Amino acid sequence: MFTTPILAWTPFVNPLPVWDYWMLLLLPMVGLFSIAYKSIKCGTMEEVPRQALHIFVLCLLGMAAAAGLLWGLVRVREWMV
Amino acid sequence: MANRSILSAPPLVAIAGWLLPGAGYFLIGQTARAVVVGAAVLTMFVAGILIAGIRVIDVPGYDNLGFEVRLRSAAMVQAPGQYAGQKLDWTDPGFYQGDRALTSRPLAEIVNKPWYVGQVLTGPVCLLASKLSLHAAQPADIQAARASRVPPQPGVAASHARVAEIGSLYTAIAGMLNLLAIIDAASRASGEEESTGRAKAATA
Repeated sequence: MFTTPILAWTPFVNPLPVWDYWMLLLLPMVGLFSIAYKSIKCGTMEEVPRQALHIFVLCLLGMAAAAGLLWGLVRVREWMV
Repeated sequence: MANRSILSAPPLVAIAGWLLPGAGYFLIGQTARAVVVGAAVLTMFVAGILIAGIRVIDVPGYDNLGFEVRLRSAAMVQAPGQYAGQKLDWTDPGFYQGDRALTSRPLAEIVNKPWYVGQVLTGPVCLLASKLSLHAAQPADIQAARASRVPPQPGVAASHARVAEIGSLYTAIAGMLNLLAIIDAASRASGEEESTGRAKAATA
């Protein structure tokens, strides 16, 4: 499935050929965000790993809840029309 | 000690934080925080470019082909159908006499490309990426493109859809996190100055 796009792919020039898996790219983004955000907010760096893990899980749950809510709204809209 | 207090002045800490993500914390002596924040912000920015390609840095004041957006100035209006503020084509002979869109209508240009506001907060690394993005956007053979009647294509096409959105998110969030880091480092530096001042006043 990846054969053709990868052959033509130049890193940092062309987009990453992950059209079907773009959602997985949210995981490293949330992870990096959590680490940087908690490094800024925490009083000491010893607290960062635990706090970052906490906010990482919360962000993922929040995004899943938002996705579920939007999916539900679309279904209701379709049902109404 | 005197040098240390000069280096940890809040404005200097803020400027250092913009020049190199995390450097503000380094100046106030918080090395671990500097390394973690700096590495996370830069990794996020570079990952955004890796995901969506260099064209994810969409520079205000430049078009899809990497050329400056120039507008017809009032002095250039000479024929019916022409008006001041009209976008000039880069093949137009009077192109370089036109007003720069970025300086004549900066707000409109920035509103057109709002992600750049977040991206540029990452610091000079974004300015370098902007330069590379504009270079990649220009047609491979400018002379042939100028002579051709066919509308020229960019050297590297900008990415679209979800991958472009994720790349924009990565790069803009990196910049916004760096802004948080700059504010926090400057605030910690000013707190340190205040506490040093209080300690000096107490001992005097």
